[in-house]
Amino acid sequence: MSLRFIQDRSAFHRTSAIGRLLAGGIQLPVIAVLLGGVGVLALYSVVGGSMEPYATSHLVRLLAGIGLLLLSALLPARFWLLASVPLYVLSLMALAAVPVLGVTISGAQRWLDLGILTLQPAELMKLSLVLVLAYSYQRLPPHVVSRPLAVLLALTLTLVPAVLVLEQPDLGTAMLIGACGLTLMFAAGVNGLYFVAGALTVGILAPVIWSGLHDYQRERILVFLDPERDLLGAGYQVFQSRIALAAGGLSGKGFLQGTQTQLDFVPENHTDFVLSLIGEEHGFIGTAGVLGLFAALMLTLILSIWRTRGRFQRLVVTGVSVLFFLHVSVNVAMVMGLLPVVGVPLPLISFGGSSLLTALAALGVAMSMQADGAADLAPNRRASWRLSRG
Amino acid sequence: MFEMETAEARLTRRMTRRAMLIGGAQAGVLGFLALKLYDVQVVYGRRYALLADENRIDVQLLPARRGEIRDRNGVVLAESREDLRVTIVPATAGRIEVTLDRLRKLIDITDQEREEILALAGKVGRFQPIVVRRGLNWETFAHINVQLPQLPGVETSIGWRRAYWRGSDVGHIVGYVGRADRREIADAPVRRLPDQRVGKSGLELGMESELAGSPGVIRREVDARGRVVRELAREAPRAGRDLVLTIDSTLQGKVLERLRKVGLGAVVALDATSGDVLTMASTPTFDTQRLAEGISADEWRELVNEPGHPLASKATRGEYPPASTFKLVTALAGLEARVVDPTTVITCRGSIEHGGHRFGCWASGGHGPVRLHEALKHSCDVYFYTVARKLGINRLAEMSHQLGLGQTYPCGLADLRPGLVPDPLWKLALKNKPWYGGETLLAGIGQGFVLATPLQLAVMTARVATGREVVPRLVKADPMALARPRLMPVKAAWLKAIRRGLEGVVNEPGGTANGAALMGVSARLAGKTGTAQVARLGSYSGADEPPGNLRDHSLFVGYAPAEAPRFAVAAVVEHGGAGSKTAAPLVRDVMRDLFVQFVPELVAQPVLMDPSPSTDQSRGG
Repeated sequence: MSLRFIQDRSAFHRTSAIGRLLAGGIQLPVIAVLLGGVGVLALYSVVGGSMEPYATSHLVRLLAGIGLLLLSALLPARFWLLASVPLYVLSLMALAAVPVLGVTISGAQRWLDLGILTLQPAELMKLSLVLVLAYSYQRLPPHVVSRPLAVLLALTLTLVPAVLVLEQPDLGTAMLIGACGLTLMFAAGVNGLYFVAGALTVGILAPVIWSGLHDYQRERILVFLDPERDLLGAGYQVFQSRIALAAGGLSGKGFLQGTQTQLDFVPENHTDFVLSLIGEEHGFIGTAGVLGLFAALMLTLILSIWRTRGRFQRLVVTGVSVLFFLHVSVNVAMVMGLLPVVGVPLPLISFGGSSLLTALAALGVAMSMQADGAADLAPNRRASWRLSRG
Repeated sequence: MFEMETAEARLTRRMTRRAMLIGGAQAGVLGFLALKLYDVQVVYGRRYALLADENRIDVQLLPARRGEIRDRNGVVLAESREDLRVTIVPATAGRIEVTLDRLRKLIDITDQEREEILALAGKVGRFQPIVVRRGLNWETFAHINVQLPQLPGVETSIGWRRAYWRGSDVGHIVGYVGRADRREIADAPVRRLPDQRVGKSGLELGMESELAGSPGVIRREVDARGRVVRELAREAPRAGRDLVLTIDSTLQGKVLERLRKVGLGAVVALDATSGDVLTMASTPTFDTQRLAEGISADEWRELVNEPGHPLASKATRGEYPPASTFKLVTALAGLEARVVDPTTVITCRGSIEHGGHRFGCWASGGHGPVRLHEALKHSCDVYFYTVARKLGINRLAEMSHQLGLGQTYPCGLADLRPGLVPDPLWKLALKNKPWYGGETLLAGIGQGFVLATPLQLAVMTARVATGREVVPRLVKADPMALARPRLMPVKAAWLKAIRRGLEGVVNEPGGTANGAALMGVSARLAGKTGTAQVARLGSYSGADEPPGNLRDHSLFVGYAPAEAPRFAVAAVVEHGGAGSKTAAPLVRDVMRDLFVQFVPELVAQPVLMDPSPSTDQSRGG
């Protein structure tokens, strides 16, 4: 009797917050806390074994972020549906405000100073974009999804923030936003021919894009092609990072023993290159473990769409998974020198408030989608805030 | 409606398919990345590990050449010499004994040194280079460099070594360098490096930021055997600034010789017109070169505890009661405040009453009626008691400051003592007691609380002699920036009256330093004696002098030529007795040295023999 009650998640989630969280996939916050904890340890070690200046701050943000995650998960899917457009507009405005009101950190304007925290609107935009695209495809009737106007709409929604981010300048995030938008369009079922055509266009336009890049971005790409090109500049990071990873071997040098990364040989070792520290101290076992946790996170999300009906919910869940995937894969590839250094953090682990909070909020939203996975949010039907079994 | 449902169902199926495709791609990419990580970390790990573990990317600091210090004639006093050295890194040396024995064929390493190096190799970090030998000659250095491939872990490097010349003559001024202590490292972490030295005293300390320069950096990749594979970047060090001093080190040596003959103390000679410190001698001295080479803890303790305090310069850190030399201040303050004028007559009956206490004149019989000129010439205490009482302590303190007492100067030395110019606020703050009128009287003759360093006394003398706000300087200024010191806002007539009195002290019969007149130089010395009581006033009569450390300090301040002052000299001889007895002849001799050195045309004949020190009849003031 009680067993059946638990299995009947939908019945349970109507009655209690805990039930709702269980229905949303309680393994998600568990994995997130594990990864966040790895981050705290790494940031503790990166300064030779001290909570300051990074670890404490990361821990506090992690706890705050878990709160945000739970709140996002408890909010009904319908809330996120209704909030998606306002959130997108807000993010767009914040992005547009950066060049005017932003704070410049290490040569790039990416932050807005909100008094208590400096916000990176680009991080917020990633989640907003997922929501707004999911919202669009929820609203569009199935047979118009692949019509040119619909594709143009989705492209515009994606490219406007991508261009704004590119202006900051932040090539990595801009490409990430673009890739995320395109993947969502693909997930939404847009005709495959569009993607083939798009790929061809990019191939033709590549030289034009090249000329529009900043010198340092070009330099990064060139160094990517030939890391020996500038061992002390752009190539240095990658070179040092690889040495650090290699120094870890299979099982690592041990916690707090990462001389390469701790000794500041690897620049940005507390942000984008944090994986090289983990790799040096905990070896391949450590990095593979981290990768495994991320894989569990993404695949849990993707696989949950079997249990999810609404297009909005499915696309949001897919989008969150894709966001994590893009960040993790680009970051790991970058740390190994397989991709240019483009400044993409490792979610939940790299030091940085906006990135951490957005990642956790995104997981919360995905949980909300799963909890209300069966709810029919179709706009042309009257759906109450109280969710029915549909 | 039905068709819509079908379209929707078709789209849903497609979405599911594509989501699974995305999921598959994700799994594939992550799997690929995991494989690549395995590749980088485990398969090629060993190869990279050599780079990372044994030598990684090696960041070496190139020590900057510390600025040289020369005297005014270009004589090198502190020098940075290239030091060729050979070091060994235990981590890369393999079997360090074998390497050392191979190295022994090229340079002499005694068995004891070998043991020390091996012991050290066990103690310090594996990557910490151990100095095997410093100060190699080029030939040996080149030999070792050729052999380096056969000597794993052995490195050669070029560093800097501080060398001092005439260290026991100018050591107090130039100072010395040493390894940084914890606090100094906190100020600049680069000082942690074994090759870095920081100034510990004198100009080496005071001018540290100018002298030190900033180190350069070499980043290089080194292979497992410690061989440099390639240099990645080099940032050249920036050498420190060279300093040229105002000091004449030859003269300094001569003055020290004279000072050593009479005992412990200090002599400061200024160019009164510019403030250039020509000589600043203090005894006993110590050899800075020995300190630079490194001395044992025992030797250091001995040096610190030596009763004469050789490490501290008495010229800048010795604070003495200025005694009667302070009467320059009291006189000028009295005249400026119109408390007296040069014609005011005060009658000295050997003592003066104040607040129920008797304040005696050094001449217990009294000087009778005296004016300013006689008061200075005979150093009449009663005259200056009276002036000080009329002035009050605050006006006296004000003039003290104006003449350069109670303050330090920005002359490049960091450890100047400020002396003490007392006033009621100071006493209240320090002793929580009110100021008594009698203390003003004592201050008026430079006793009581008043303290001054020999450097300050020289400045005071130069200021009275020239009427300008002379500030001492040890480092030669940019000739373009040379400006004469400002005139002090005091009446020229008053200064003139005082100077006449000071001339009388030396050159008129009955002056307290009558025996100290310059001879063989066509210039006249003017000055003022001082005798600082160490024992209580009046415990000994002038006739039988107390022995040893109860004897008075002997002081003299003077300038010459009297009519157009060029040099100002102050001397303090600890327990030297009366100012007239020891300090005054010393200043006379130093003054003659100054003329011989700088204005030989005024020296009438070469002085072959020092006239015997004048045996003055009385305790001069």
